[in-house]
Amino acid sequence: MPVLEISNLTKHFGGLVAVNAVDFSVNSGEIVGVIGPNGAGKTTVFNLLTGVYLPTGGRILFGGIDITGWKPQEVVKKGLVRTFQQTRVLFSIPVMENLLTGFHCRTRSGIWGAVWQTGSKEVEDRSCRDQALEILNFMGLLKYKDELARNIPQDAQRRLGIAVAMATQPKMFLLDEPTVGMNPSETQEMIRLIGAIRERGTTILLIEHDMRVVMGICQRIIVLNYGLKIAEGSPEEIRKNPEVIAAYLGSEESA
Amino acid sequence: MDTTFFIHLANGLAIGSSYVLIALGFTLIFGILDIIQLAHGEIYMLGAYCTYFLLELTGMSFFPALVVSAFVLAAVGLLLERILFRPLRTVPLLNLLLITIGLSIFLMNLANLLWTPEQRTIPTPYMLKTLHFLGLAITVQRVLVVVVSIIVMIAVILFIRRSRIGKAMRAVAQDKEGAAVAGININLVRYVTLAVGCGLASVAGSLVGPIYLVEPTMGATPVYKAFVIVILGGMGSVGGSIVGGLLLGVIETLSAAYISLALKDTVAFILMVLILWVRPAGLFGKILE
Amino acid sequence: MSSKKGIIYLLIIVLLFFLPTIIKDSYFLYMAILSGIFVILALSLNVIVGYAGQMSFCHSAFFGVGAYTSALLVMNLKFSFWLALPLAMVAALILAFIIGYPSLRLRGPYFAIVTVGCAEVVRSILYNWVDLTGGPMGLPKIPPPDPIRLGNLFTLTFNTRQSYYYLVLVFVLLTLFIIIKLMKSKAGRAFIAIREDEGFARSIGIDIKGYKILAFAISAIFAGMAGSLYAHYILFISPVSFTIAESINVILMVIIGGMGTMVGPIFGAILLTALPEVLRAVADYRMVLYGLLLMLVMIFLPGGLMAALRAVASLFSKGSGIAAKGGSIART
Repeated sequence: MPVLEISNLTKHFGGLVAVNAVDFSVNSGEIVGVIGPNGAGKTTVFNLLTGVYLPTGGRILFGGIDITGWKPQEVVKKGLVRTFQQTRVLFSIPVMENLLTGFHCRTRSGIWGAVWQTGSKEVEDRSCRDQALEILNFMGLLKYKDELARNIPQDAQRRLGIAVAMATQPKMFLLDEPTVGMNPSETQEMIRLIGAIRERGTTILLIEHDMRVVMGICQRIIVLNYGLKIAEGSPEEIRKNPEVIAAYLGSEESA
Repeated sequence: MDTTFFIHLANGLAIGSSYVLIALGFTLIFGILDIIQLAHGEIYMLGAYCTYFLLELTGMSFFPALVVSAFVLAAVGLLLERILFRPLRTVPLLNLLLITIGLSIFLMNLANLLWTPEQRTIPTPYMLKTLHFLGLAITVQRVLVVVVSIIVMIAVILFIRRSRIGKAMRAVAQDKEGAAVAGININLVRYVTLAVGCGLASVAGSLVGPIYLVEPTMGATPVYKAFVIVILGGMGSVGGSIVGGLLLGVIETLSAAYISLALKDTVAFILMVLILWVRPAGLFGKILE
Repeated sequence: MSSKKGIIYLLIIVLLFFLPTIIKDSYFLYMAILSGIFVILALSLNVIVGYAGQMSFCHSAFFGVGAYTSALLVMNLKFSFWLALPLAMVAALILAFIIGYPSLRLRGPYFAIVTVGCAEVVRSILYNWVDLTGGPMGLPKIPPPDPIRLGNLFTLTFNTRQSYYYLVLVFVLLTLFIIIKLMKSKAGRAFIAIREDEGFARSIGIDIKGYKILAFAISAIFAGMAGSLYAHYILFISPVSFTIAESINVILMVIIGGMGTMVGPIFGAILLTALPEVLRAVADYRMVLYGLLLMLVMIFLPGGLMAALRAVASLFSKGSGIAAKGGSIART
């Protein structure tokens, strides 16, 4: 059973059709890429999947369950989490605190536990801390653990954004242009990291503009243009697909 | 309906017109400079005092005093821009808000200190004359408020729509960076905005002064009402401020007359809360995102 | 918390307990009690304003509802103060839900504006519902807390300044303890996330509206508590103490002290309670100077006192490595 199944997903903004009857699915353990010229609707799809926008039509099945119209916090709890194109973290608090905030939806202790420091809360706290350290280590951020997020280097902040998302213990990651603005060596490192995340058992759907990344790690690629899915297939197939080439060339001409 | 209804309506329109002038200045300053000028009520108050003193000390008559006061307070606006708002233009909105609150406390109490809390009236012959119209007797001053307000409103609207600076002001309100790139003199726009805004407040205070009493705290509630009107009418909407102001003045006066006097100042706030709960865009505005 | 900090805090608490025996001046005690009540107000406002980042102007409404509820329960229904105080907190909580539920889905500035309206509506109700609240005349002759008897062992009475000082001190410490614990919990982290970047917080599974309501409710409960303590101390309340101006006063305490810190609002509350009294020396100029001072502080110390202290502390730590940790006390 696919982890994610989208059927007929549509989003209208007034008169504008941003996403137009898009279907695709993602299987467990895959890394699938979503590409397309600017304005193709890729980020809108992510926003629809995560409940930020309400679809005008269509259905989203996650793990077999219909999550269409679910609120964002419910979607995250189910195991679907996204990152952002821009570096987005909690800048004014330490890296470790950022991570601990990520565990929010996975902890159960409530207010009562906070004030009276119940035994179960202590156990949970310790477990979160341990897991946080593990994630920081995995992402190469352990040395920054007590630094304020605003004081660490840009690419570390990027990785922090992904790390915090990892703390939500997702079954599937939606990565929005993870390598934008990175130099080649940083991009290589990100590619390696994405592969490693997939090894841990997380399925990945990724939006990218950098073709080397897409062709390099994605097993399947979905191409959008003007809100429509115009192609789907392996990197080889997509590379040779005349419609895809036309879409990109077309957008280059008008650019 | 008996004649008292129309008298209340007339009063409502009169006070509403003064609200429109205050709200216009407030929304211009907010829309163009991104400043929630909570000391705007004190500008209104100072305008009333200025007119009062001009009348008392120089024997000027009402209209000239009103005009001179407007210029005086416009100059005060220029001063405020130069020494306060321009140096602080990068400060976050919240801090600016509190700074204007401090300014408001400062000005209100300075007035209290200089001129004592004693309530004054601006003597004009118009308070004594009444107009007989359709069987109603309305004090001329109230008619004046409406008439002068309308004239001023039209003048301001024409100014913003037709003049070069007005167009520049609108451009800055829509997109500051874009306007700067397009070569618009932002500093000049800021000066003019503050001058016009303060001038409007001064006119409002001068018009209302003869009807209600002039005292240092007179600006405290009007500024919140200006706030309410701007919300009701939609942020940055000039038309909305006009309709909102008149509507508020009328609803306030009618509620006070027919439901309970207690409601007079509270109606504005109840309306504001209800509108924001039901339709956050206000009556006319676009939903600001 | 480092042990050095812990010892300092312990010392401060011990000092506070012995304060009435050291400084016997009655006026000083009066100021201390008043400061304590405002410390509770500032700490609680800090939860919604400083931690959750939502500016709210209706703190005076919670304060007022708490005060009137407590006073009326004791005077009209002959409740004990010790029952009236928690009920006052409940009343404030209910008001928080009434206001918060429809309002907290609005974005920041609009929420703030709604709270202005709500604060004024509540004040107007207190002012105009003369049969219940005494209207502009207020409620005079509120009884102080009834004594606590412990069998034949001892009786605690609360009709002296000294005894009330201890009462308020206990409640201040209780408030501080609970709020610190809450802010260190996942709720506190959620608040900070909401404050810093709502969209990001949403993307990691935080229920934005739910937590905003929680922060609002917490702030209201303690404001209600402060209201009860206020009513049974001043023994007279009227709507004039529960206006938007009062809300602004508490906001200033939080901001000038340093919002989002725990110590900042405490400093701010003590400073702004003491300041008008200190300025009383210059009587007529008092409020003029107050306005001017407010402007100057907001212009030159926008981070509040805590940020200024930290800046000063870091000056020292740059100078010598030994003093490098000096800033940590201020970083609470």
